Amino acid sequence: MFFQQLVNGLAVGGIYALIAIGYTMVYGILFFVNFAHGDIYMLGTYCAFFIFGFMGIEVTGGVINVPQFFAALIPSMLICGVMGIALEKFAYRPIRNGSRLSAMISALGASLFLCNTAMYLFGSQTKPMPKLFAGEYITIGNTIISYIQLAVLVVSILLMLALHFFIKHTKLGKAIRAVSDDQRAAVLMGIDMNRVISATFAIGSALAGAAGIMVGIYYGAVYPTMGAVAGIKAFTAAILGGIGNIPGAMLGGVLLGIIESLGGAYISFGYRDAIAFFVLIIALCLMPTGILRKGRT
Amino acid sequence: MEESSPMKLVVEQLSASYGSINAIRGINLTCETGETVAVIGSNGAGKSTTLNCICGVVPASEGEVLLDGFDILDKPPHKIAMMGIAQVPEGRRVFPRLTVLENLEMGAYIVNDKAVLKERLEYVYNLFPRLAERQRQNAGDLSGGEQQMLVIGRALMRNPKFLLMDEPSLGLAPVVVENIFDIIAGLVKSSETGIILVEQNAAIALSIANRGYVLENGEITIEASAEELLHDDKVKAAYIGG
Repeated sequence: MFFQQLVNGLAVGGIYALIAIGYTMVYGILFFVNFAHGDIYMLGTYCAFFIFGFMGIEVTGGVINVPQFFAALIPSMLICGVMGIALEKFAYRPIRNGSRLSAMISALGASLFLCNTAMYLFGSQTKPMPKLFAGEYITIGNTIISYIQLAVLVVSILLMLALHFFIKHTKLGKAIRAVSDDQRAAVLMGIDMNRVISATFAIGSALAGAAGIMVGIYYGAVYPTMGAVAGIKAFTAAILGGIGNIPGAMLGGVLLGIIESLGGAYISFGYRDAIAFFVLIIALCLMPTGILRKGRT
Repeated sequence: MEESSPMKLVVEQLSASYGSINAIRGINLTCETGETVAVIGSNGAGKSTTLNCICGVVPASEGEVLLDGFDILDKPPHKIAMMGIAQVPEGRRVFPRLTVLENLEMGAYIVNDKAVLKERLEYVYNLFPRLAERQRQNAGDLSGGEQQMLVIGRALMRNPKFLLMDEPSLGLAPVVVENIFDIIAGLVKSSETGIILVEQNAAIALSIANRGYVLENGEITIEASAEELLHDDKVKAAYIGG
C-alpha cells in the first residue's frame, strides 16, 4: 500500500507542482499572491472540454488517444497564457504602484469574477471529461500504475524541464530571474518590466492550464469551482517549497501530493484536505521561508 | 554626420521630493562624453536621488534632463538605458542568484548582436580578470570588492555613452577602494564614455575627475574644476579632512 500511495501522490504532486510554479513566479516578481491563479487552472480544463467537443469526442465515457490529448493540451495552454496576460493587464497593472493589500483584494475579485463568469457561461453543474487511455495499467509487484498516472507524471516532468531550460538559458528567462533578484537594478539594464511581468503571467498560467487539463482527465470531471481547493493546495506547495523559488515550488508540490496521499491512506481519506492544510500550518510555523529559501543576500 | 563631436548630458533645474521632503532642488549639471565629473557631498545630500532621476527610476517633480538636446525625463527607465545611459547603483546591487557571467549578460540585455556581446565580455574580463575566474559562481557569493567590479563591468557591457557611478567606494576596504579607482582611472583615460562619479570620498573622486560639483542639502553650492576643488579650503575642511 505504501508504494501504491507513493505513486498516487507523485501523480497528484506533479499537478500541484505545475500550479505552484505560477504562484511562486508571480510572487517572486511582484510579491503578492495571485489568488485568481486557481481559476485560470479551471479555465484550462474548460478549454480542453470544449476542444474535445469540437473534435467530436464523446465526453461521457469517451476515450481520447495521445495525439488528441496534445491537440487539446497545446491550444489550452496558449489560451490560458493569453488569459494570464490579460488578467495581469486588467486586474493588477493599473494598481501596480499601490499597496500590496490592493493587489490582493484585486486578486480575490478577479478570482470571483472568473469563477462566476464560468458558472454563468458553462453552468454550475459538474461536466464529465473523456478519459485518456481506457483504464490500462501496469503492475509492479502489487503496485498498480495506470497509464494516465504515467502520462500525468511524464507531461509534468517534461513541462518542468522545459521551464527549467527556459529560465536557465534563454535571455527572457534570465531577465525574469534578474527582476526577481533586484527589480531596480534590472530596469537599469534596459529590461522592460512590463514585458517580464507579462511573460511571467503567461508561463505560470499556461502551466496551470496544463495542470487543469490533466486533472480534468484524471478525475473525469470539470466544474467552475474546481480552482479553489486546487489553488489553495498549490499555494501551500509553493509556501512549503519556499515562495519565490521555482525548484522549491516543484519540490513542494511533489511533497504535498505524497504527504496527502499517504495521510489519506494511513489516517483517513476524508482528512486528505485537512492534512494538506495541516502541512501548511506546520510549514508556516516551523519554516516560514520554506524548504528552499529565496536566498536573497 | 557629426560623429566626432561629443554627446552632452545636461541636467537643468532638476528637483525631486519624497513626500513633503525636498530631496533635490534646482540641480544644474552637465557632462560630455570623454569627461569625468565628480559630484561630492555628504550622506543624504541628494547625490543618489540626482542619479536616479536621470535614470528614470525616481520621478522628478521639475526640470529637464537632456541627452543631446532630447528630453528624456519622462521616459521609462528601460528606454533611458537603451539610449546609452548606464548606472552603477549604490550598494553593489548585483543579481545575487545569477552567475557572474549571467550578470554581465544582463548588462548587455539591449545588445542583440552576439559578436558585439562577445567582444564586450572580453573587454570587461580584460578590465577585471577576477570576474573571468569567477564567471560560473553566483554573484551573491563574491566578496564586496568583486561585487563592485561586477556592477561596474555589468554597466560597461553595453558600452554606454554615459556611466553614472553611485558611491563605488562605499563599504569597501581602503586597499580595495584603491584597486577599484585605479581601474576607474584607467577607464577615464581610455574610453569615450562620459562619467558622472558620485562620491563621499571626495579626495579620491576628485583625483580622477576633470570637474566637480559640491552638493549640499539638495542644492549645488560649488562648481569648479577638480583641481580647484581639491585646493578649496571649504571643500578640504568639509569633505577631505586635514
